[in-house]
Amino acid sequence: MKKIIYFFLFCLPLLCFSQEKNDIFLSEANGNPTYYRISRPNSDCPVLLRVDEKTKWISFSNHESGDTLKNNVFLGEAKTIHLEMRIHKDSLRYYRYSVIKNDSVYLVDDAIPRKINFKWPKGSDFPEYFTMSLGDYNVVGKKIVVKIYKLPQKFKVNTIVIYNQPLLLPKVLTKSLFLESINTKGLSVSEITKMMIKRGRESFFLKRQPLNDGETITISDSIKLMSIGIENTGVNFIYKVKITRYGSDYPEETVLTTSDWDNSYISVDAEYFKKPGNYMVTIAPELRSLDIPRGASLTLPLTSFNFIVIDKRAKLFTAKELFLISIIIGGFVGLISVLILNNRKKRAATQLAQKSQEKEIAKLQLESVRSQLNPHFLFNALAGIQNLMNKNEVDNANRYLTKFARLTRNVLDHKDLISLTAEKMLLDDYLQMEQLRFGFQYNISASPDLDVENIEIPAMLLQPFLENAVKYGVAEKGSNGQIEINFIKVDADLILSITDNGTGFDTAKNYDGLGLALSKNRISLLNSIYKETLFMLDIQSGGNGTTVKITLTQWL
Amino acid sequence: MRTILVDDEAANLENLKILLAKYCPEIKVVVCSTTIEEAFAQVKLHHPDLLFLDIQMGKTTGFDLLKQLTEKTFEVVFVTAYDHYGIQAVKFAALDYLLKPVDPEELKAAVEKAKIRIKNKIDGDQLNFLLSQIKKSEATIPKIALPQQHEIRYVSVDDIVRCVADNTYTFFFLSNGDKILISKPLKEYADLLKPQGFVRAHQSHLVNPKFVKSWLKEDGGTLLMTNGDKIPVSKPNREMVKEVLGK
Repeated sequence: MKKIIYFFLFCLPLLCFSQEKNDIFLSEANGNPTYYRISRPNSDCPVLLRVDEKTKWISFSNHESGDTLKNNVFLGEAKTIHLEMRIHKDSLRYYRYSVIKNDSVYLVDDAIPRKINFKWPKGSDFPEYFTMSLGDYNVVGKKIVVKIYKLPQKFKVNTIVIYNQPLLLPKVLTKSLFLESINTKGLSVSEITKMMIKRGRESFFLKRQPLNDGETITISDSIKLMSIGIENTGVNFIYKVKITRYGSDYPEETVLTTSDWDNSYISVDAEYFKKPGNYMVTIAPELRSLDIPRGASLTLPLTSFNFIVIDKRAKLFTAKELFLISIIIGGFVGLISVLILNNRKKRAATQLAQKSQEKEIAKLQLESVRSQLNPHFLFNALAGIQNLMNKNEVDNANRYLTKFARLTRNVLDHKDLISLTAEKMLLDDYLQMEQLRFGFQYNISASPDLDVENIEIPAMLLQPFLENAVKYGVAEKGSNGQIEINFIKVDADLILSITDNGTGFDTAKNYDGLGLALSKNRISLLNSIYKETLFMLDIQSGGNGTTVKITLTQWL
Repeated sequence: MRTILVDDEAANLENLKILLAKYCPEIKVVVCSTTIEEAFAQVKLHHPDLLFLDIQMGKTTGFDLLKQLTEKTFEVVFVTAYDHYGIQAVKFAALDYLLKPVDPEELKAAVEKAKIRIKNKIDGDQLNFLLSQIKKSEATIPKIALPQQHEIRYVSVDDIVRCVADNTYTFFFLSNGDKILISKPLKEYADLLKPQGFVRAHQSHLVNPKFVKSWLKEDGGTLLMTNGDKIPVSKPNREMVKEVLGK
């Protein structure tokens, strides 16, 4: 009996330990793990973060001014995190990393990443790369700092700070106005010196005057700035001060947003609150790249106070005079502005009409050059299905027939945009049908950090290039033919690429048969519609094959 | 499951029958009809569990059959070749449909879904809802059926503030503050609601312009909603969003 009890006592810590290990990490609906890239884009140490299912929210890129290699990550109620890093296998030994808990305890001190999570195979997005584990960490109520560098650049340290602590309510300790006590304009140096002796040195510094919540300020030139001091939150840089004016001339106007803290103080130049009106100052954290994976609501702590600004100069006239003057000036200004506005409106309207007309034309042109399914493919595909029927392969005939129907429907539907998931399916349908004829191999992959369900691209963008890859690339190679399609995210760019191992062609020459001119035309039309996001086409062709790369810049 | 097939082309009926026998053996096809009149009589006689119903049948539609039947104690899977208007209405009612030629995989999924609905006795009001939507003129504001696990909410399109994608799920934010999670991707609802004036401001956000308060310049473009929510506008959509809101 005793033995059994001992055995249980022995097992208990083990059980606890394994439970700790069993934290389920966050994954997408399709089962792929959710990763957040938490190193800065210009870093050569790409660090990925996974958080557990307990995590309510994550804000994964908060930069401070000054350090271009530092990033701050904020987590809501995470329990465990997992860190990893993608490194080329030959440079593993050059990397060193440290993990520090609460600025005091080194959990890892200048170690080489040793645990391999995943070896990227040949033909994948990152051949010859290893995904190295930097470990799992309990982060309950903690601040974790990760420091990484690559030898020999020992000084180029990438710092990632992960905060898993509640965001503090910004507590305003002081708020005050600073006034100039003497107008020194137009005075000579000797005059100023005389005054200094007379009044004392103090008077030449700005005079501080406390500001109360709801106070009315009569604005004058002597008011120079407002200063707000808060209790240090440790992460002041994410706290934004916003000043909003509610005036009679303009219903709501944000006059300033700033997070330019000097220690725990922020100064606001009086220029920002010169106009009369009610002002509201709010201070609240602003989280960048916020993800709320489980749809939990997130309320950020917010502090606010008000003040009212009135203009003393307005009192120079009596109310009656003011009324008269304003009517005269108002009428005059009104008349002129009506004339100007009318003119401008007309011009804007014609400009807008012209613009939308241009766009309409571009859209129509796009429609006409939208690649249609090649008739050659169409009838050959039908013949392929006929062949299956005659061989009594009914299941296969059904399969290919529905694929064929899906492809045709997509061409007939004339949709502008299509999700990456749907595009992947159509390319897959097309390739399966062509595979029936030519027997090549293919692979379609999307990098895991792409939200393939919701990111959309122009429909039928890749189809013509894929047809070329089949027809001129791998058709002759039989089962040795290989086509690789990749959807990759690089910062805000989306890169779509098709690679085949055919015999290639000279990109400088014009091949009418390749339909390249049509595709190039189509891309330039897309550029005239999506003006802010450039589409770039890059074709590399040689004896070993062809790669077509379409980059949708700033698309994500 | 006792099932009736309705389609004006005999070849299609035969084909569907073969596919059902092969892939869904639990389906017992009681009878097939090629006209609405015949189908009406057969449904009254046999009280089927499930109906496969063609939408476009010569000059009549499958909807006409449903209009004539006052008691709808069966599930319906619509079948159509290429019919934008009909499918749109069916989607608004969150009912199931198949496209011809019928994909065996989709057929299996549709039967599976019908089975669950029959088992859980999910209220059959969706068919009446569908008919009421078809009857209405184009000028009235349509309603949309939002199927949740245990109930179906019928929501006026005008009461939807915005939708947010969460992978293959969609969150609906309603004007009364309710938040509903639906297990369909945002893309489907974008297709349904764009013709109603909704704007896809971002890959994860679909917005009802009625609830947009103003355009903020922060972060290169943000929509401030009347309830204070801020919606990012992604770069490729910026011009389009401005255009729609400018109108």
